[in-house]
Amino acid sequence: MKDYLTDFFRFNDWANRLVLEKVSEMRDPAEAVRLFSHLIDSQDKWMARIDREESADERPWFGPSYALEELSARWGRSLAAWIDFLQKLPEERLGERVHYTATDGKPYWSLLIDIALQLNYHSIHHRAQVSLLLRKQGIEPPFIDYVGYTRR
Amino acid sequence: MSELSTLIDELKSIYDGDAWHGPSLKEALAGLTAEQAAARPVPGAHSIWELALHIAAWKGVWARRLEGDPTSEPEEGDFPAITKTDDKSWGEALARLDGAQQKLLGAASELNDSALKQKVAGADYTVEYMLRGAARHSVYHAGQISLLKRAFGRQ
Repeated sequence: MKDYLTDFFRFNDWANRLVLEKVSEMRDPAEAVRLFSHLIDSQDKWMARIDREESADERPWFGPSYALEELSARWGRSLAAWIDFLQKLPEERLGERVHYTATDGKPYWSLLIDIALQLNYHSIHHRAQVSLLLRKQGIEPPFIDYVGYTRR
Repeated sequence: MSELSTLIDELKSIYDGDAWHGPSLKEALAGLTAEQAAARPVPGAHSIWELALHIAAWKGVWARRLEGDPTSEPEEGDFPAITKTDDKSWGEALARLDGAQQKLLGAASELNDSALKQKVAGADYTVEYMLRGAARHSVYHAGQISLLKRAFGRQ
Protein backbone atom coordinates (compact mmCIF):
# COMPACT_ATOMS: atom_id res chain seq x y z
CA MET A 1 0.00 0.00 0.00
CA LYS A 2 2.93 2.31 0.71
CA ASP A 3 4.14 1.83 -2.86
CA TYR A 4 0.65 2.49 -4.15
CA LEU A 5 0.39 5.73 -2.17
CA THR A 6 3.85 6.89 -3.27
CA ASP A 7 2.87 6.22 -6.88
CA PHE A 8 -0.40 8.12 -6.33
CA PHE A 9 1.55 11.17 -5.06
CA ARG A 10 3.95 10.94 -8.02
CA PHE A 11 1.07 10.68 -10.48
CA ASN A 12 -0.48 13.79 -8.99
CA ASP A 13 2.86 15.55 -9.16
CA TRP A 14 3.17 14.71 -12.86
CA ALA A 15 -0.40 15.78 -13.64
CA ASN A 16 -0.36 18.92 -11.49
CA ARG A 17 2.85 20.14 -13.06
CA LEU A 18 1.43 19.69 -16.58
CA VAL A 19 -1.63 21.67 -15.56
CA LEU A 20 0.48 24.32 -13.84
CA GLU A 21 2.42 24.93 -17.06
CA LYS A 22 -0.86 25.79 -18.73
CA VAL A 23 -1.95 28.01 -15.84
CA SER A 24 0.97 30.29 -16.66
CA GLU A 25 -0.69 30.90 -20.07
CA MET A 26 -3.98 32.07 -18.52
CA ARG A 27 -4.95 35.71 -18.92
CA ASP A 28 -6.59 35.56 -15.47
CA PRO A 29 -4.98 32.80 -13.39
CA ALA A 30 -6.20 34.05 -9.97
CA GLU A 31 -8.72 31.25 -9.25
CA ALA A 32 -6.41 28.52 -10.56
CA VAL A 33 -3.58 29.91 -8.41
CA ARG A 34 -5.92 29.99 -5.39
CA LEU A 35 -6.79 26.30 -5.92
CA PHE A 36 -3.16 25.28 -6.37
CA SER A 37 -2.20 27.24 -3.24
CA HIS A 38 -4.98 25.40 -1.39
CA LEU A 39 -3.57 22.03 -2.51
CA ILE A 40 -0.15 22.99 -1.14
CA ASP A 41 -1.59 24.36 2.11
CA SER A 42 -3.65 21.20 2.63
CA GLN A 43 -0.71 18.85 2.09
CA ASP A 44 1.46 20.98 4.39
CA LYS A 45 -1.21 21.20 7.09
CA TRP A 46 -1.65 17.44 7.22
CA MET A 47 2.10 16.90 7.32
CA ALA A 48 2.36 19.45 10.16
CA ARG A 49 -0.32 17.49 12.06
CA ILE A 50 1.60 14.27 11.53
CA ASP A 51 4.77 16.02 12.73
CA ARG A 52 2.79 17.27 15.76
CA GLU A 53 3.70 20.83 14.98
CA GLU A 54 2.19 22.96 17.74
CA SER A 55 0.35 25.36 15.43
CA ALA A 56 -0.65 22.72 12.87
CA ASP A 57 -4.38 23.02 13.56
CA GLU A 58 -4.24 26.82 13.14
CA ARG A 59 -2.74 26.55 9.66
CA PRO A 60 -5.32 27.67 7.09
CA TRP A 61 -6.80 25.38 4.44
CA PHE A 62 -7.09 28.41 2.19
CA GLY A 63 -4.32 30.84 3.05
CA PRO A 64 -3.43 33.84 0.89
CA SER A 65 -2.59 32.67 -2.62
CA TYR A 66 1.06 32.20 -3.46
CA ALA A 67 2.57 33.98 -6.44
CA LEU A 68 2.19 32.00 -9.65
CA GLU A 69 5.98 31.89 -10.07
CA GLU A 70 6.36 30.35 -6.60
CA LEU A 71 3.83 27.55 -7.06
CA SER A 72 6.08 25.02 -8.74
CA ALA A 73 8.80 25.22 -6.06
CA ARG A 74 6.30 25.29 -3.18
CA TRP A 75 4.40 22.34 -4.62
CA GLY A 76 7.70 20.47 -5.05
CA ARG A 77 8.68 21.03 -1.41
CA SER A 78 5.25 20.00 -0.16
CA LEU A 79 5.28 16.84 -2.25
CA ALA A 80 8.88 15.96 -1.35
CA ALA A 81 7.95 16.02 2.35
CA TRP A 82 5.18 13.47 1.72
CA ILE A 83 7.27 11.19 -0.50
CA ASP A 84 10.13 11.29 2.00
CA PHE A 85 7.75 10.56 4.87
CA LEU A 86 6.21 7.58 3.08
CA GLN A 87 9.55 6.16 2.05
CA LYS A 88 10.79 6.13 5.65
CA LEU A 89 7.52 4.88 7.12
CA PRO A 90 7.25 1.17 7.93
CA GLU A 91 4.22 -0.28 6.11
CA GLU A 92 2.47 -1.24 9.35
CA ARG A 93 2.44 2.36 10.56
CA LEU A 94 0.00 3.33 7.78
CA GLY A 95 -2.75 2.19 10.12
CA GLU A 96 -1.71 4.60 12.89
CA ARG A 97 -3.99 7.34 14.12
CA VAL A 98 -3.18 11.02 13.68
CA HIS A 99 -4.86 13.21 16.32
CA TYR A 100 -5.92 16.78 15.61
CA THR A 101 -8.45 19.46 16.41
CA ALA A 102 -10.74 20.31 13.51
CA THR A 103 -12.14 23.74 12.62
CA ASP A 104 -15.17 23.04 14.86
CA GLY A 105 -12.79 22.94 17.85
CA LYS A 106 -13.43 19.24 18.52
CA PRO A 107 -10.74 16.55 18.74
CA TYR A 108 -10.64 13.93 15.97
CA TRP A 109 -8.31 11.27 14.66
CA SER A 110 -7.75 9.84 11.22
CA LEU A 111 -5.66 6.98 9.93
CA LEU A 112 -2.45 7.86 8.11
CA ILE A 113 -3.52 5.76 5.14
CA ASP A 114 -6.82 7.65 4.84
CA ILE A 115 -5.09 11.02 5.08
CA ALA A 116 -2.68 10.09 2.28
CA LEU A 117 -5.52 8.76 0.11
CA GLN A 118 -7.79 11.74 0.62
CA LEU A 119 -4.99 14.21 -0.15
CA ASN A 120 -4.53 12.55 -3.51
CA TYR A 121 -8.24 12.47 -4.33
CA HIS A 122 -8.34 16.10 -3.19
CA SER A 123 -5.62 16.87 -5.75
CA ILE A 124 -7.62 15.20 -8.53
CA HIS A 125 -10.79 17.04 -7.48
CA HIS A 126 -9.22 20.49 -7.72
CA ARG A 127 -7.08 19.64 -10.74
CA ALA A 128 -10.31 18.88 -12.61
CA GLN A 129 -11.53 22.33 -11.66
CA VAL A 130 -8.33 24.01 -12.82
CA SER A 131 -8.61 22.12 -16.14
CA LEU A 132 -12.13 23.47 -16.54
CA LEU A 133 -10.91 27.01 -15.76
CA LEU A 134 -8.28 26.57 -18.47
CA ARG A 135 -10.96 25.59 -20.97
CA LYS A 136 -13.08 28.55 -19.87
CA GLN A 137 -10.23 30.82 -20.91
CA GLY A 138 -9.80 29.08 -24.25
CA ILE A 139 -6.82 26.92 -23.29
CA GLU A 140 -6.93 23.19 -24.06
CA PRO A 141 -6.13 21.30 -20.82
CA PRO A 142 -3.24 18.81 -21.02
CA PHE A 143 -3.82 15.05 -21.20
CA ILE A 144 -3.40 13.96 -17.60
CA ASP A 145 -5.01 10.52 -17.40
CA TYR A 146 -3.14 7.97 -15.31
CA VAL A 147 -2.45 5.97 -18.46
CA GLY A 148 -0.43 8.96 -19.73
CA TYR A 149 1.62 8.90 -16.55
CA THR A 150 2.37 5.19 -16.90
CA ARG A 151 3.43 5.66 -20.55
CA ARG A 152 6.05 8.34 -19.81
CA MET B 1 -9.84 -4.96 6.52
CA SER B 2 -9.09 -6.62 3.18
CA GLU B 3 -7.72 -4.68 0.24
CA LEU B 4 -10.90 -5.34 -1.70
CA SER B 5 -13.20 -4.08 1.04
CA THR B 6 -11.06 -0.93 1.42
CA LEU B 7 -11.37 -0.33 -2.30
CA ILE B 8 -15.13 -0.93 -2.30
CA ASP B 9 -15.45 1.51 0.62
CA GLU B 10 -13.55 4.11 -1.41
CA LEU B 11 -15.86 3.58 -4.41
CA LYS B 12 -18.89 3.97 -2.13
CA SER B 13 -17.69 7.07 -0.28
CA ILE B 14 -16.64 8.79 -3.50
CA TYR B 15 -20.10 8.12 -4.95
CA ASP B 16 -22.48 8.91 -2.12
CA GLY B 17 -20.67 8.76 1.20
CA ASP B 18 -18.52 11.04 3.31
CA ALA B 19 -15.98 11.64 0.58
CA TRP B 20 -13.71 13.91 2.67
CA HIS B 21 -11.60 15.18 -0.28
CA GLY B 22 -14.61 17.20 -1.49
CA PRO B 23 -18.27 16.52 -2.29
CA SER B 24 -19.24 12.99 -3.25
CA LEU B 25 -20.55 12.62 -6.79
CA LYS B 26 -24.17 12.43 -5.57
CA GLU B 27 -23.64 15.47 -3.40
CA ALA B 28 -22.21 17.37 -6.38
CA LEU B 29 -25.26 16.37 -8.48
CA ALA B 30 -27.87 17.11 -5.80
CA GLY B 31 -30.50 19.79 -6.26
CA LEU B 32 -29.88 20.52 -9.91
CA THR B 33 -32.77 21.13 -12.27
CA ALA B 34 -32.84 19.50 -15.71
CA GLU B 35 -32.24 22.92 -17.25
CA GLN B 36 -29.12 23.47 -15.15
CA ALA B 37 -27.85 19.95 -15.83
CA ALA B 38 -28.24 20.45 -19.58
CA ALA B 39 -26.68 23.93 -19.63
CA ARG B 40 -23.20 24.54 -20.95
CA PRO B 41 -21.79 27.31 -18.74
CA VAL B 42 -18.26 26.73 -20.05
CA PRO B 43 -18.25 26.80 -23.86
CA GLY B 44 -16.50 23.75 -25.26
CA ALA B 45 -16.83 21.82 -22.00
CA HIS B 46 -19.39 19.10 -21.30
CA SER B 47 -22.67 19.77 -19.50
CA ILE B 48 -23.30 18.20 -16.09
CA TRP B 49 -25.86 15.91 -17.73
CA GLU B 50 -23.30 14.69 -20.27
CA LEU B 51 -20.80 14.07 -17.48
CA ALA B 52 -23.36 12.10 -15.44
CA LEU B 53 -24.15 9.83 -18.39
CA HIS B 54 -20.45 9.49 -19.22
CA ILE B 55 -19.71 8.30 -15.68
CA ALA B 56 -22.68 5.90 -15.77
CA ALA B 57 -21.55 4.49 -19.13
CA TRP B 58 -18.04 3.78 -17.86
CA LYS B 59 -19.24 2.27 -14.60
CA GLY B 60 -21.23 -0.09 -16.80
CA VAL B 61 -18.12 -1.01 -18.78
CA TRP B 62 -16.08 -1.67 -15.63
CA ALA B 63 -18.87 -3.83 -14.19
CA ARG B 64 -19.06 -5.87 -17.39
CA ARG B 65 -15.30 -6.31 -17.46
CA LEU B 66 -15.41 -7.60 -13.88
CA GLU B 67 -17.97 -10.13 -15.03
CA GLY B 68 -15.52 -11.37 -17.69
CA ASP B 69 -16.82 -9.45 -20.70
CA PRO B 70 -13.80 -7.91 -22.50
CA THR B 71 -15.79 -4.85 -23.55
CA SER B 72 -13.61 -1.84 -24.34
CA GLU B 73 -16.00 1.08 -24.85
CA PRO B 74 -19.52 1.86 -23.64
CA GLU B 75 -22.13 0.62 -26.14
CA GLU B 76 -23.97 3.92 -25.70
CA GLY B 77 -20.80 5.92 -26.53
CA ASP B 78 -18.17 7.70 -24.46
CA PHE B 79 -20.58 10.60 -23.92
CA PRO B 80 -24.03 9.13 -24.57
CA ALA B 81 -26.42 11.25 -26.61
CA ILE B 82 -29.08 13.21 -24.73
CA THR B 83 -32.35 13.23 -26.64
CA LYS B 84 -34.68 14.98 -24.19
CA THR B 85 -33.80 17.52 -21.49
CA ASP B 86 -36.96 17.58 -19.37
CA ASP B 87 -37.05 16.92 -15.61
CA LYS B 88 -38.27 13.34 -16.09
CA SER B 89 -35.32 12.53 -18.35
CA TRP B 90 -32.89 14.09 -15.85
CA GLY B 91 -34.39 11.87 -13.15
CA GLU B 92 -33.89 8.89 -15.45
CA ALA B 93 -30.27 9.89 -16.07
CA LEU B 94 -29.62 10.00 -12.32
CA ALA B 95 -31.34 6.63 -11.92
CA ARG B 96 -29.12 5.25 -14.68
CA LEU B 97 -26.09 6.47 -12.76
CA ASP B 98 -27.35 4.86 -9.54
CA GLY B 99 -28.01 1.60 -11.40
CA ALA B 100 -24.50 1.61 -12.89
CA GLN B 101 -22.96 2.26 -9.48
CA GLN B 102 -24.91 -0.64 -7.96
CA LYS B 103 -23.90 -2.89 -10.85
CA LEU B 104 -20.24 -2.00 -10.35
CA LEU B 105 -20.40 -2.53 -6.59
CA GLY B 106 -22.26 -5.79 -7.10
CA ALA B 107 -19.64 -7.09 -9.52
CA ALA B 108 -16.77 -5.92 -7.28
CA SER B 109 -18.28 -7.58 -4.21
CA GLU B 110 -18.11 -10.94 -6.00
CA LEU B 111 -14.31 -10.67 -6.08
CA ASN B 112 -11.66 -11.43 -3.50
CA ASP B 113 -8.21 -9.99 -2.78
CA SER B 114 -6.41 -12.37 -5.11
CA ALA B 115 -8.75 -11.43 -7.99
CA LEU B 116 -7.51 -7.85 -7.63
CA LYS B 117 -4.11 -8.96 -8.90
CA GLN B 118 -5.51 -10.76 -11.95
CA LYS B 119 -5.71 -9.23 -15.41
CA VAL B 120 -8.97 -7.67 -16.53
CA ALA B 121 -10.74 -9.55 -19.33
CA GLY B 122 -9.24 -8.41 -22.63
CA ALA B 123 -6.86 -5.90 -21.03
CA ASP B 124 -3.19 -5.79 -20.01
CA TYR B 125 -3.82 -4.31 -16.56
CA THR B 126 -5.07 -5.71 -13.29
CA VAL B 127 -8.50 -5.52 -11.73
CA GLU B 128 -7.02 -3.38 -8.95
CA TYR B 129 -5.62 -0.91 -11.49
CA MET B 130 -9.02 -0.65 -13.16
CA LEU B 131 -10.97 -0.14 -9.93
CA ARG B 132 -8.48 2.47 -8.68
CA GLY B 133 -8.92 4.22 -12.01
CA ALA B 134 -12.70 3.99 -11.61
CA ALA B 135 -12.46 5.79 -8.26
CA ARG B 136 -10.25 8.55 -9.68
CA HIS B 137 -12.56 8.96 -12.68
CA SER B 138 -15.53 9.80 -10.46
CA VAL B 139 -13.47 12.16 -8.29
CA TYR B 140 -12.24 14.01 -11.37
CA HIS B 141 -15.69 14.54 -12.86
CA ALA B 142 -17.27 15.39 -9.48
CA GLY B 143 -14.65 18.15 -9.26
CA GLN B 144 -15.76 19.49 -12.65
CA ILE B 145 -19.44 19.24 -11.72
CA SER B 146 -18.98 21.14 -8.47
CA LEU B 147 -17.27 23.98 -10.37
CA LEU B 148 -19.89 24.01 -13.16
CA LYS B 149 -22.60 24.34 -10.48
CA ARG B 150 -21.17 27.67 -9.40
CA ALA B 151 -22.57 29.10 -12.61
CA PHE B 152 -26.03 28.54 -11.11
CA GLY B 153 -25.12 30.01 -7.74
CA ARG B 154 -24.83 26.56 -6.14
CA GLN B 155 -21.75 25.58 -4.17
